[in-house]
Amino acid sequence: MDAFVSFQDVEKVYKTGEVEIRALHNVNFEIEKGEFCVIVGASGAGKTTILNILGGMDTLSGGKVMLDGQEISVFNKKQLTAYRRYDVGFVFQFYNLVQNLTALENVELAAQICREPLEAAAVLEQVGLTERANNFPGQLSGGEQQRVAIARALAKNPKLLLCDEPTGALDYNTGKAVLKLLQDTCRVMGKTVVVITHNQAITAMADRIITVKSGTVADMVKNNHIVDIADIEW
Amino acid sequence: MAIFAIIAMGVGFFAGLKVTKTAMTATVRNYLNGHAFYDLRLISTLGFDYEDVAFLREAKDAEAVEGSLSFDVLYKLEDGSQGVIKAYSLTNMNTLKLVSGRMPQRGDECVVDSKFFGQSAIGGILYLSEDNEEEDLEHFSSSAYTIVGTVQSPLYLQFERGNTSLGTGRLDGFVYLTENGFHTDYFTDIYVRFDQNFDLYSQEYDDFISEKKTVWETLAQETAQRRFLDIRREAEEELADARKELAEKKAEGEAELADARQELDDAEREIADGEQAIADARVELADGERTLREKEAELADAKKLMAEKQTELAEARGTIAEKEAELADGERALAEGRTELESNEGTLEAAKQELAVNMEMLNASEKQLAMQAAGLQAAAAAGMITPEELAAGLATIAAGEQELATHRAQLEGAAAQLAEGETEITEAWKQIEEGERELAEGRRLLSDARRELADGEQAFADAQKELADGEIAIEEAKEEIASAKVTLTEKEGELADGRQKFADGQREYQDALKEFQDKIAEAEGELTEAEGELADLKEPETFVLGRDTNMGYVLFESDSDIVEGIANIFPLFFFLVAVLVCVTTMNRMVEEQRTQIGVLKALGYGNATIMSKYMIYSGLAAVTGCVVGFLIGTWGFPKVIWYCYGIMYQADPIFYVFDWKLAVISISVSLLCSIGTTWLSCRVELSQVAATLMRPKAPKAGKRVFLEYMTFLWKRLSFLHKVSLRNIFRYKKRLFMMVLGISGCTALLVTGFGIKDSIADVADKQFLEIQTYDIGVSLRENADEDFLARLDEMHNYGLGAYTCVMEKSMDFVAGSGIKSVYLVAGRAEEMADFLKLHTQEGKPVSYPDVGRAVISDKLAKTYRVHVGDRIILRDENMRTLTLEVSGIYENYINNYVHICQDTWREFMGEEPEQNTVYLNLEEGGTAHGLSAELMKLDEVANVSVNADMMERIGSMMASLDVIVVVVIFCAAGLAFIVLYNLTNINITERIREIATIKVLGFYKKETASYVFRENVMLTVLGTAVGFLLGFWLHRIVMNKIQVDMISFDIYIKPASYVYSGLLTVAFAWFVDKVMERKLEGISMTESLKSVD
Repeated sequence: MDAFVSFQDVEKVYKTGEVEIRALHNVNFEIEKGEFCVIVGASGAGKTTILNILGGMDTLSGGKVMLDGQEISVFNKKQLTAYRRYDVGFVFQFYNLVQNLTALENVELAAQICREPLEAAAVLEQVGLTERANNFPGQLSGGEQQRVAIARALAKNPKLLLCDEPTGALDYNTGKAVLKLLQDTCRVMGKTVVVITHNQAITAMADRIITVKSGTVADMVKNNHIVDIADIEW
Repeated sequence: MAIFAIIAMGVGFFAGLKVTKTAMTATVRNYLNGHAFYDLRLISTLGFDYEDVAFLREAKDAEAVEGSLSFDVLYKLEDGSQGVIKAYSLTNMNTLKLVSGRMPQRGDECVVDSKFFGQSAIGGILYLSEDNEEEDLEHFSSSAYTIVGTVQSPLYLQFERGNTSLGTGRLDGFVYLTENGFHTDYFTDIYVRFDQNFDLYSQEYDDFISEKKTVWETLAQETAQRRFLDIRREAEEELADARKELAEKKAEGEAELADARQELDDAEREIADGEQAIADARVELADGERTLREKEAELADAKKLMAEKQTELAEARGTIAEKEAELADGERALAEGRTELESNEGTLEAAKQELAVNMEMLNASEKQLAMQAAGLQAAAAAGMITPEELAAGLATIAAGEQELATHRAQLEGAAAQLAEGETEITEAWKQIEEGERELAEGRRLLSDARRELADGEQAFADAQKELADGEIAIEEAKEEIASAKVTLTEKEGELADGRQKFADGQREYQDALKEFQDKIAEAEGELTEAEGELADLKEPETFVLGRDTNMGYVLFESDSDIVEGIANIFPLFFFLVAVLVCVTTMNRMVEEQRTQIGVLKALGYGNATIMSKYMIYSGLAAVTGCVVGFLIGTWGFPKVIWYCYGIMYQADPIFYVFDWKLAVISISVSLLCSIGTTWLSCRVELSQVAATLMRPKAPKAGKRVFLEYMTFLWKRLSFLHKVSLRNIFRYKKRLFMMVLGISGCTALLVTGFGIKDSIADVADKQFLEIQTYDIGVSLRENADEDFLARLDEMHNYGLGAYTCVMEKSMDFVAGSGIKSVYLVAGRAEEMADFLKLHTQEGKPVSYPDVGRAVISDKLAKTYRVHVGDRIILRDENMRTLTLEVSGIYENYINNYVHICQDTWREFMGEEPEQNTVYLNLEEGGTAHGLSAELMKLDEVANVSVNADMMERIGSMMASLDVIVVVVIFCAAGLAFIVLYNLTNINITERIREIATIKVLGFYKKETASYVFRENVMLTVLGTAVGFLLGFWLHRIVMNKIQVDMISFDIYIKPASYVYSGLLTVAFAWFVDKVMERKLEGISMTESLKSVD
């Protein structure tokens, strides 16, 4: 069976004036459906670029990206937008909630444009924020905000959940809780989750670990000793 | 950058519009000074002569004094077009600007108005029309002038050429001739120029001139007085001369006439003689003819006689011939008779002899017989013979005896016959003799007759000859008569000619006499008139007119005032907006730089140093913006506006005015805006401690808007609308600015269109809705029956209904002052077709009845007169008329008080003078055709066609389009800057939000509408506010440009609101379109990465 996600010889070159920066080269990896995948690497290794490409936010300079049998790398802008809209859910380091909307509304914002959205309130309940549903982001803590962000991503009922340093701005415990939530999501809802982190420790909880180093995949292993997030310390 | 743009724009508009009036007036001043435009114009009812000019030139403080001529005259061009033109003499003042061709050098050359005549007119000929009054033509030395150039005159700054009493009443243009082109010994005007360089229309100039005016009024009066005395003296002398001349001429004429009379009398006598002679000749001729006729008759008789005679002669000749034949027969018969006779005689002889023989024989026979008888007897007796033979022999002897006896008897008879024959013969002889005698007699008679005949023939021939002579004579006589007749006819013809001539002569004489009498009478009349005139010769009136009587000069002032009025108000908006934009921009900038400020502060920089950095930044932006805006504005605005006004005004290209004061104001205000706002924003930030500053400022928390508490409403809104509404109310400052900017834009547009609506419709409303008559005719005198009769004939030219009214200028006496108004007294029952009185709301106002008046709304408003109030009108003789106001009607041009004619009759005790006629055209009639006909009537003083008025005012109002265009550009600029700036800030501030939205998979359109929905809402809100604001601004502007005579209709058409709204929306839409591209450009990856 084909992999759910596959990168084949992906290249990404940024051009800044005369200078060409090869952000990615020769990136090859695959992710199976329903996996909890962690992409780990040092800062500037190209993790975010991979995520951006995978999330349809950026284009690639060469190679091929396939998701669920679709070749994303040939999509045009509009197709990419549709792809983001229906197939991908994002969770960012800095939450990126709409300040002017309540938690519930932020979830609704995403939900209302999808084909088969989940009930916003239900998703919020899932992430444990029912009582904060009518609060504005400014009134929520970082962890809560990130949970709202996850809820927002989940509400879209995406095929793929992409998280860029979801714990980066959070304290240890909150981060753990968020990761727990992500892991549960993966396990319970059967979503494919891709988490980007520079925290090696987190790799322990992943089904698949992809190590990125200076713009290319250094290592890709299937984790056979999955540790529950509660047991991971860093 | 935003600061730069808004400051540049604000300053550009402000300074540009502000400086436009200055630049316009400076340009015009320069133009006028360059062309030596006059300061004072002196007019005298008597004109001025050279001495006057010289006197004035000596007299005072003027820089230049010059006499000039100007006359209105009807002209005609080669192509047959004609009109009225004002002819000026070329002077050293009010000099012309040559547009093409050259200046005239000779008396028969001219230069013409470049506005009316194109360049192609050069080389053509301007004819003075024959329709001109003799006395008008007398002013000119020629009747045709060659056009050698086209010019502009400073006397006609504007395109309006003014009115005249001639022709159509409208001047087509002007023409300048050399002084030789005129034929006058005086000047009509004197132009005076002072050495001054005040600003046009400035108070200083007005003061200066009014001071000069008083001095010059006296001077002018003095000069005119002197001229008056001269003229009177001259005139008196002339009059005396004329009288003398008249007397001489009269005597001369009379003498001539007497001679002529004499001649005529002679001729008459001659003619009488001639007539007599002809009459005699005619009588003679008649006699001659009668004689001729008699002679002819005689001749005819003679001829008849001759014919008879001829017959007679012929008969006589016949008779003679017969007689001759008879005679000849007679002779022959005689000769025969004679011969017969002779033969008869011979026969007789023979017969006698025979007889004698026979007798013997008989005797012998008887003896024999007696022997025989005796022998027988003897025989018998002898009985020889038987008895029987004896008896037979005896019987035979008896028979023989008997026979012998008969014989005898015969013989005897023969003998008797013979004897008878013989007698007969003798008798025949006798008869012959007698016949011969008779014959001879006949012959004699015949020869007598012959002789007679010959005589007769002679006489006949004579008579014939005579007759022929007579005939000839008659022919001759006839000819004579005929020729006499011809002569007579000739003579008669001659006589007729003579008579004709005489009649002619007489007529001539009569004519001459009449002419003479007329002329004398005329001359005497003229003299008396002249005397009367001389007696009437009024003390001359002089007028000293300033520039404010020059139409172009005045119109230019009002036009530049309009520009100024607008310049005073509109730029305020821009400054207001500029300040707001500065505030938000600086706020935004300072906020963006917050961390940096914190860092700087942490590094130990003082507040002042940090602040100065931003102040210098914003100050620099402001100063550069100000400089650029100022330069472009002050250069561009006057240029554009001047270009547009150039359609109406002629002057040099506008020049650049650098107004220091304005520049300083602009720069200080813009610095104040930028630095002040910077200071305000910085102060807030700087008051915080460095640590706080270095932390990103917490995004402004979301808030519930009041609307959310109205759950029933809020629930109905779609999700995204809720977001937008929240966003709108999230940033109050921006909301305020946006609404202000957009409403400002709308308000500007509404005002711009409104100005046009208010002013442009004035003429239309006045003449289409109020004074609905087509032509107004003012008369020199009362409209009498005679005039009306002639007016009725005009129906052929399309004249419809008409009504006579009294139009009279009266003083409206109000508590607060006196105002000149037009009083119109019409016939109440007729006025409805000519005047539609109604209120502003369109409700009809009924025509006033006796003792009441309807007044125009401006009058009512100015003097606070209400329906039911009493108003007082006063005429020139200080008679007053107190009326009750029964209605106030909508009116725009002039101030009117309407009353009915009965009111005048009743209150003034006199018939109202019917001095004005309002006319309506019939379907298909042309106003100009009719007005031309009307002008031909003597009584008509002036014809004003309302359509013309409308057109004229309309063309004046065309300049308003310029203003509207300027306003639209301003508004567009304003809308664009405000919307762009705010949207830009909005987008920048919410870039993460937008990126998030995009990441979430919002399509391009969805993203745009997510962002711009606010703009749309605010645009709608702003437009709505703008309508109110515009309504209010429009009122202010209109009040600023209020003109005395015209009351503008402060009114904005609904369509103008619609246009303004649409334009605002269009501007907003345009900005959104531009910004949409910016949205597109937002990189999701970049904006989400950054922490701010």
